Amino acid sequence: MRIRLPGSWNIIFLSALAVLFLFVVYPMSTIFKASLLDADTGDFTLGNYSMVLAVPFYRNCLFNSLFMSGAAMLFSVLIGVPFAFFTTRFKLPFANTLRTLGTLPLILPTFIGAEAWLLMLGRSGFVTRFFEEMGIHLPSIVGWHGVVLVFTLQFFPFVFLMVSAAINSVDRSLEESACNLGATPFRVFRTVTLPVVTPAIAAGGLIVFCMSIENFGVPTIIGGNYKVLAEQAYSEFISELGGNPSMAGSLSSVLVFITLALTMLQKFWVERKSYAMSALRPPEIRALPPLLTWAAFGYCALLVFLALAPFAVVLVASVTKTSGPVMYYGQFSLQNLKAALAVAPRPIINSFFLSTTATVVGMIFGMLVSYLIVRKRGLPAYVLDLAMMLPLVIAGSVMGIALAATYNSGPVVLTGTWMILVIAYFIRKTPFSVKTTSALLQQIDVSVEEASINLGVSPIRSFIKVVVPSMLPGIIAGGIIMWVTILAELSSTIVLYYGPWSTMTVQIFQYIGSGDFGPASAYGALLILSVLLPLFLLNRFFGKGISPSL
Amino acid sequence: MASISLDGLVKQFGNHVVVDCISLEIAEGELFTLLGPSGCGKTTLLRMLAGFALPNGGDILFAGKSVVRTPPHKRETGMVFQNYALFPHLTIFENVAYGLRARNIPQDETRERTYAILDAVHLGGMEDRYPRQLSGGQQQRVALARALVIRPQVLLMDEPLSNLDARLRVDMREEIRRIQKEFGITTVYVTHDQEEAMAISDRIAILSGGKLQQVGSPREVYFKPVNRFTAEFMGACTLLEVVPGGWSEGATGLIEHLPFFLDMEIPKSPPFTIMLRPDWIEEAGDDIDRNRFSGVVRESTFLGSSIFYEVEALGRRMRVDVSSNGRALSKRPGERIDLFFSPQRPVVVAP
Repeated sequence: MRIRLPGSWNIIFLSALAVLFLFVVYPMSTIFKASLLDADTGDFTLGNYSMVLAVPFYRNCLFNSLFMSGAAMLFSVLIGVPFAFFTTRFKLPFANTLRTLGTLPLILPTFIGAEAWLLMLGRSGFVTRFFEEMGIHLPSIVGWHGVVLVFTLQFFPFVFLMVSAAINSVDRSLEESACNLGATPFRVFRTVTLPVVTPAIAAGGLIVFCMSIENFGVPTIIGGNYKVLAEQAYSEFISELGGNPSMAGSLSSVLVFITLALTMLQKFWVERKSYAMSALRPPEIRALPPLLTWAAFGYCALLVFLALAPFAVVLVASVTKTSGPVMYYGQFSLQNLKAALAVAPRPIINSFFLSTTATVVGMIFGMLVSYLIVRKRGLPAYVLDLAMMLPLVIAGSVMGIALAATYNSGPVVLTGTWMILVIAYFIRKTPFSVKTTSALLQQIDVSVEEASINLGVSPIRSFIKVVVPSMLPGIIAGGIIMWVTILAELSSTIVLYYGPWSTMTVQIFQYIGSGDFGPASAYGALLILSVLLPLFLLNRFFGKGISPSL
Repeated sequence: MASISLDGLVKQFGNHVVVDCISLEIAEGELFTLLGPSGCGKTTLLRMLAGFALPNGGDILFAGKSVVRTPPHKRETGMVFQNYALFPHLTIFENVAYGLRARNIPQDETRERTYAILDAVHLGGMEDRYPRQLSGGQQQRVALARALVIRPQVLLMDEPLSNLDARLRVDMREEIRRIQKEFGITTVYVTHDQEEAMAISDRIAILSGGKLQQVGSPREVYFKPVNRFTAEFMGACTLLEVVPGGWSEGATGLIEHLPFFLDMEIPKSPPFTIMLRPDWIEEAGDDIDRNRFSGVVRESTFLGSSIFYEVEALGRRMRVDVSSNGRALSKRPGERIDLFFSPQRPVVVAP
């Protein structure tokens, strides 16, 4: 039986649905429609899709996208699964620190990672030059292998987090039982432990695949001539000479279909196979012989180092003397930071203003939507949930293209205003807030609220006085995640920003493009610090990692 | 099938002694229960038998051979876990066949034995299902079948019924008892429920604070508890302190300054404590004058065939169960009640 919504909740429900329709469903249908029309005549055609497969250039983009994402998925699994087992099942020195550091790459901007690898192993990277002086010619990092490297190092935490959560959700008795039935330790691992966490491995791998295929910055920066869908859709859209809106539409749609299909696979196949149980006693954390302990520790430490060192390189580069693409390592200079902070602070102010605005709007919206989804159930809530989570399968550049194309004419023109950036951020990142908040809300019993209403407080006031305070940790955690990921957002910003509303991410991207690694690193360093500081505070005051929110 | 001997078994976690020098003999084919409140060391004891916990001292022998150095996967015990620990990714057939496959038993024999044991626990036809498609009681049977199919030397059961609802619990314990007797397998059963322990066991060991309190048949531990802990743990009871001697002729001793007659051997060292179960105290008719005392009913609960009274008498509250005998009316709170007990009933318990 469904409880009838009280009046004011009905209004909130309909408004939320309207917002999601206007800024998600309608724009997406606009570009989907464009993909089905002939660019010149405006007739219905499937030609744009057949072009994706028929024209070698587009076909290559599709293939490259799939190949690069597949490789990133494979390598993330290969390095992430051992990392999860080592840090959750065995007594390692600094295991907690390794786990915390191991989740950080998720939150650090991928395109800055790509920049750092260029700084190290690009044509004039310092590692490349160091070896060149010794007469050794290193192959360039530019190309698909560079892209896969950056993705692997930044996305393996998805695999690590999902797998270690799965390990901890399996009761100790399962392995003991296998052992009791006569299985050797290796057999226990092969026949019980591994199969039970396999769904988590698959889920983590699929996330890595989706994150990789929709990533715009990394292949653009470090891919060289290796073109992928997310990048090409953007090029088709902005290209003033012979730009093709239908082609941008079909490339975008193909991208959305792929991520949507994988998300369905995850939802209806992997999730059904998941064996999470309410663990009474999580598995025992075992001590290994010293040699193995150090080997496992070395592996984890090396991985964390490889994933985080690039960001340290950017921090160093930001205080290094530069002229154009030439970096004078060892020569300290504040010129770039000064330039960024004093001479051209506008992008910094923009970044903070836009992300704060979008976060505040998103937190309030997310709070209301979580409540409706968790408490009201039934078909309307399900529809709202679907619409809310839809942006998760839409690549940032595609979302940007959809919004820009939809609102550049007609009764409401938003393209070319700062508001469209806020809308894009809000739409793309509110799902994070909804996830953290509804997870918490699910644990709060309905009767608490009913008690308040029973005592004569109106439903909305009861919500504010009783429910919101208990949701607060989730709202704040979700808000911080939103804020830092928006600061680091590049793919939809690059489509939607105009002149004065350039952000730090756009600046970094453009400076890298023009080879000015000094200013790029200065903005990059500021961005890294702005992302890490709130997370550090979150960890400090709420005592929990960022992991549950991702 | 094997007898089990525990010889001075000790287990400590840090400075905390969980199992304190326990020695026991469990006969072949016996269903032996470890009973006690949570934290009494019963589960730790069971895990030491399975090999999941290593004793700090003492020895464990199966059929006369020490097994403390045998790793758990070579110890040939079949364990039924509290949460069943069924492998969620395997079918019922694969779950039950797991131990046989680990032993490289030929495929034909594996199939044969698996089907046979599933029939024995009334789960024929369920082979291809997954654990989550089964009810709690069925999962319990799978866990039992999986432990039995490897023909272990001993069967270990860790609170196997605690996750089932009350009615199923009664059915299942009869089922476990039936299967255990059918296979004649030496079984160590852990529970904190004294009723369950009495219903299922050949013998019971009562543990508290890591120490063995009493070992005996269900009747022995219920009717003849050796100490206060066992007396109270095995069911409701009234403990009375008796001072030997008394002013009435032939009286054994005084309870709250009243003379009482006890037809039993009484300890030399005065004073001593006797125990009475609620149904050993009866309502006194006019013809009764020995061991008669009166009290005031504080609470009365009508339960159909019997009536529970909470009576204030002899300076304490005591529970008295009387048969309702078709009486529509029982005493109300505040009413006076005359009670007595037969001189043969009470037992002496150590403090």
